[in-house]
Amino acid sequence: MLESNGLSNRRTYLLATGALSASLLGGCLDADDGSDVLGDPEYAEDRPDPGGVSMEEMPDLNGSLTVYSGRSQPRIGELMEYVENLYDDFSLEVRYDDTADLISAIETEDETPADVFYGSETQSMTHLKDEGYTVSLPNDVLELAGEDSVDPDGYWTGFTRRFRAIAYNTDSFDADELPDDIFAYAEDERFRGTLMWPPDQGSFQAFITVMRLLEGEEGTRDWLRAMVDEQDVVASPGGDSALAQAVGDGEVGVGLTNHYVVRDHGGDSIDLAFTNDDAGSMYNVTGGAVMADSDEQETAADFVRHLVSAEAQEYFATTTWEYPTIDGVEPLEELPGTDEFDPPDFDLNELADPEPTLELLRSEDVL
Amino acid sequence: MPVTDPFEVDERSPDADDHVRDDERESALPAGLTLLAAAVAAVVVVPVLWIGFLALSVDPERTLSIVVRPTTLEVLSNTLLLITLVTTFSVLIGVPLAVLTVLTDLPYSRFWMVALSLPLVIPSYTSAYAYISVWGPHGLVQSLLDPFGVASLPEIYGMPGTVFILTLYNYPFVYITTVAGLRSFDKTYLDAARTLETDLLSVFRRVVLPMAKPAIAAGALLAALETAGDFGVPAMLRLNVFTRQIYVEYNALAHDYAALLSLHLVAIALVILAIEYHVRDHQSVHGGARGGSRSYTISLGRLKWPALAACSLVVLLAIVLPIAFLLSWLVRGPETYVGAFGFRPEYAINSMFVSLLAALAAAVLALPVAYLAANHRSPVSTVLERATYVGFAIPGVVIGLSLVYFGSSYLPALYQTLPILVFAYVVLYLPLAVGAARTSFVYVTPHFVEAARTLGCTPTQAFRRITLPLVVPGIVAGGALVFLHAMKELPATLLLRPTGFESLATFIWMAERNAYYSYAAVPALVLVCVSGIAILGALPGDGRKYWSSLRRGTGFTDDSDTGTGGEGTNGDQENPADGGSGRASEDFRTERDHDRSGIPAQPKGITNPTDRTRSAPDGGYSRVPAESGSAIVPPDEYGEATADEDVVLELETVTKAFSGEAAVDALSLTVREGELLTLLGPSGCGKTTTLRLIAGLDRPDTGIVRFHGRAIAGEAEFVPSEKRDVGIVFQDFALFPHKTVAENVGFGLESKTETERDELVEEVLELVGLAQYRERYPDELSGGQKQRIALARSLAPEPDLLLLDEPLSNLDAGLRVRMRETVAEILNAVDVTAVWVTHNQEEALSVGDRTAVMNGGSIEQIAPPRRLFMRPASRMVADFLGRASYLTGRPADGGLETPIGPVEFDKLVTSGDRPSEPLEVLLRPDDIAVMPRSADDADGWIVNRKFNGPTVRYRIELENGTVLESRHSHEEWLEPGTPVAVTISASHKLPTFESARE
Repeated sequence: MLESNGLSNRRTYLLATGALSASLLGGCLDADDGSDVLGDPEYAEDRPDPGGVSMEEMPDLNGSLTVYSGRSQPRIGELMEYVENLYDDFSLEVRYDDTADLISAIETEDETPADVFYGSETQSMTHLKDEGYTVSLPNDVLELAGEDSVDPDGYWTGFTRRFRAIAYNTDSFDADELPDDIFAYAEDERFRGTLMWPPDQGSFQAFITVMRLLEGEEGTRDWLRAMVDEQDVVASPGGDSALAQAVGDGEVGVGLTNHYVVRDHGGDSIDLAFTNDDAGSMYNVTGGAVMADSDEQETAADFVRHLVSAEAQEYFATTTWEYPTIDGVEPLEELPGTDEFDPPDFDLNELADPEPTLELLRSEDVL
Repeated sequence: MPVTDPFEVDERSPDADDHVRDDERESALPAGLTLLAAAVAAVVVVPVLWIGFLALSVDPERTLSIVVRPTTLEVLSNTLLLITLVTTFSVLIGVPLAVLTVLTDLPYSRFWMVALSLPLVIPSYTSAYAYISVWGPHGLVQSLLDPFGVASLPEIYGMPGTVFILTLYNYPFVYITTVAGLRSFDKTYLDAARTLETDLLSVFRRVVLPMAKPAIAAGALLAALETAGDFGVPAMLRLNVFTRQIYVEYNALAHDYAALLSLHLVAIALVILAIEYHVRDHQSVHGGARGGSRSYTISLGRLKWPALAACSLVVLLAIVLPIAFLLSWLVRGPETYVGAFGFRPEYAINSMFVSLLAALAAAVLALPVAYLAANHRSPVSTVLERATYVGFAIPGVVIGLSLVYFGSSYLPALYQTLPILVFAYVVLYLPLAVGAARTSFVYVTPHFVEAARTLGCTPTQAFRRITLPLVVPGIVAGGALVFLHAMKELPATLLLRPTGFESLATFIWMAERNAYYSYAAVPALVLVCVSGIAILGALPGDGRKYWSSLRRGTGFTDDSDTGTGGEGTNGDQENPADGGSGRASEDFRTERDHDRSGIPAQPKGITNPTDRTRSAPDGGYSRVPAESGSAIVPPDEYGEATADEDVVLELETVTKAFSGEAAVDALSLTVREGELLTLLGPSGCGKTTTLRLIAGLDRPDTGIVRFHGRAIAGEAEFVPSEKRDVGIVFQDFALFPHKTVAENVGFGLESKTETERDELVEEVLELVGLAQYRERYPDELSGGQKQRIALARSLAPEPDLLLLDEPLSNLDAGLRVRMRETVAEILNAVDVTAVWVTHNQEEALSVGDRTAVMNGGSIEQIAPPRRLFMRPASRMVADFLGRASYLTGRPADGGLETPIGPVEFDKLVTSGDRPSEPLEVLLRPDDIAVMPRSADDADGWIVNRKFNGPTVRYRIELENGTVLESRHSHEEWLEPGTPVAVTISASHKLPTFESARE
């Protein structure tokens, strides 16, 4: 389980030093080649050198690429600039927007200017694949990441993995009294009136989709009903971040959320627990795909390759608190290792059709 | 009927020259302008049509499943309820606040006006976040109240919270338009109403609200449409309305679904537009000639504190709270590592740049649509104007996607560039610019332009010098509204901006999306401040006032100061018959004569005042009336005047029809050098149309108008107004409100040097006795002063012919009589040839050298006033000029046998031959006398008595039922019912008419 003092230290540190000193620190760390250290210096330090293939060993990037990114600038902006600055003859235009905006634009555009689509989940990438907007990636790109994070058809590859988790208030519960079964949360009286979920979030809906796949329509419906009728679950006032805040403040004891949310929200009294081999610990991946309309498909594929490099994976591990998809880079030590819990088996492509899930949520008055 | 110029087609009804209706002249749509406006409307509507195209591509079975989905009904009713509630509450908040800040002595009203408009600049995504955090479960408010045992607050989610937040941020639409409405209408109505109503509340209910209704409706329309299209707030507050459904489906990548749902929104928008169209009043609200913008103050008294508290509460909730929320995050400091993410000033510059471009583009594109809607009301112009509103109700994301389609398909070079983003803003916010521009076009009365044209401006010059300056404040206001909406627009910005282009809105969105509120604080504050400055431009009325005071080189004058100052001086200046103007007239005349020798002047024919004779040649001609008894007018000592060489103006069988009905029907008329001709007639008789034909403001259908013997309007030629040497004074004075008195008077003197102009202005102002008012603005003058300035303005260019269109009708009764003399004196002093239109017989007879009585589009009789009265050519003329009663008599030996005895032919005006048919004798009240008699000897009896002070008027009914009127000295006092004998006391011959009855 997660060491809460790790989170606590981090927060105290940042409050004490502030952003200015953080950047000064960053400036001093890696002075030999003139560029800043990549990623959050607090966590990037004192880690073993990352394994995997370094960007230096990868083909050089030339020309210019346009990336449609469903991930936001605060998360990946630094990495994008890093990659662009590696090469003199390479320029990168990143269009940060909502995933839905980007998909709609691609579908509406006569010919998309995008060379690469950077998805924050697999649904959008599967959707683009199914509609024929993307091309398959070269095998030497696909084989860099672990099999469970790559499209079996080879049209996208995962950059990071993100898990559903149970966020709990450490003053209300101890780690070892939390069940490792998502259904227990709908039955156990200890959680009655102290549960929160974010039903309008895509990641929550993907979690329900996996539950439908694993437990069937009725099993999922029963779980939803029990959560609403028996446990009086409340909806988050503002997505996952507000949920984490509510858990951290002790307003609720338990929230169903994404594991990385605790990086930024919830204060010192929040920690994570994971369920075993059920939808409660399902994961999704962020990743990239190359657009069929692109005139620079080779460069685009090499750009995708750069994001499964040792440096990029280390950046994700330390800065976005996600799980790397390559061997050789470990998740942050503040997070449980993937050997400490057992995610369910499912095909990420199955997440692409949310409509039955939306219908279910609507019919149960959850959405 | 040769209408050669399609732009001149005019569809007025025949009685359109009635003065009340004069402002409402409707004309056919000018083709060029209509095409331009249609192009603008089409460009705006096409992106909306794309939704329909997309929705049609949905599989019919799926369409059906969407439409009959059980939740659809709930979503529809939620949406309609939300729109209704938000609009209602917006009106309930916006209108009282507008009344408070405009009509009362609320302290710091200018500050409140800005502060109360400011909610418009807060993006709803920011305010909704703030409200959820502050008011939501376990939010700030609840945790503060927790110690006091308040476990939960009223639920913010769902309908109540959504209505609350949307009302808080949409009421300014109603507020701003109502402020504009209240400021523009004539405050004298308020005075009038307050004298009639005891209760201030009923004054509002019965006067203020009805008059402000179009403005309120316009604001409510915007609030309703904005509510219908709001994406963020219902989504965050989880209210199931169409936008939230669209949002959910959109995020689930079901775009066809989203498009179908958007069609619902389009339908709702059309319904809202239709409702507003029916609520909106359809009369033009031209600025009142007398009202001006004088401030009006209702004292709040003890209500001041509650009023201040209400204003503060609204500002606190709408502005202070969300900003304080963001600031609180700023104080907490950055709590996490965000790498390269950070606010840069260029984002603010980007926002301002595109928003400014959008404001300019919208203002320009709004012009043709607004001008057409304001000046050429027709189904086509209405549809075009309304069409521009549809985009406002469509969520930005839908418009954005539509432009993604059009841009990438047809204009790939422009796709993801600034022009297409600017265009999206135009589509979304054009109605804001159209509405503001339309209102200001409506404010510019056609008389302003017509006055400018008679002062020598071509239509283009008139537009540049008069219309444009007057509508600029409105256009700026519309542009400012577009600007501040573009500043905070998000969905279309995200879809259409160039890659890598970040604005304040996209940055705030990105920060809030990741819950980095501290990063959103600074850009949000910048956004509010910049937009707050724009709000100043959007507020009605202030602009011109600042501009005026700037030009005058004085400090800013408050409304109230001007009001009291004006009234104080008005008192003694109101008397137009004071010595000043008389003396000034003399000076002016000599100066002008002087002037003529100095300047190479055009031949003026101004005669020397000493030998000039004001009385025109006696006589005139009469046309044979078609009905009601033909006149018997024998050639007599007056004779018929022959046309001579000093004819200035001649109309020859001129006809002008509107919608096929003749307003002026084969009218012929001559005006001679130096004479003052009055055109008299009942409402709708065609007299104003005649005047407009003379001025060149309308073109005759047939007939010829000659000026100094040269045809200026006829089959082949038409000299426009500005090329005719004609001045005109309108009933509503039509003083240009954006120019000072001196600038107004000097307006027609463009061709002169500055020195000459100044001298002339000075002279003319002295002539009318208002030299000390030269730096005033028209709205600071009293009615009588305005009248004299209007006269001065028309006289300054020394026109050959001056036209006065009911010049005194807008003055109150006492002033009317005094001004009549003043104006006549001034006209005499400058000896200008003039045509004066009036419906007031006393005015016509007292000032005119000759008077033409008009009826049904033609002249009944034209003659010197006395002859007109004594020898009316028809019963119509006789009836119209003073009281007339008729006595029927049968010809008998040497005279007529009448109910009151025989009347000798010597005492009658008859045709040369002895009449054989019965005649009617015209009897004026002072032509007959009554004497009490015994019932047996009496001719009739008194049925009515009217005492007027010096005189008393009796109505007598004769035995055969004839009713006569007789005027007596107040000393002769008879009771009604008294039997009397009637005698003819007149010493002059009595006119007779052939009997029309029997």
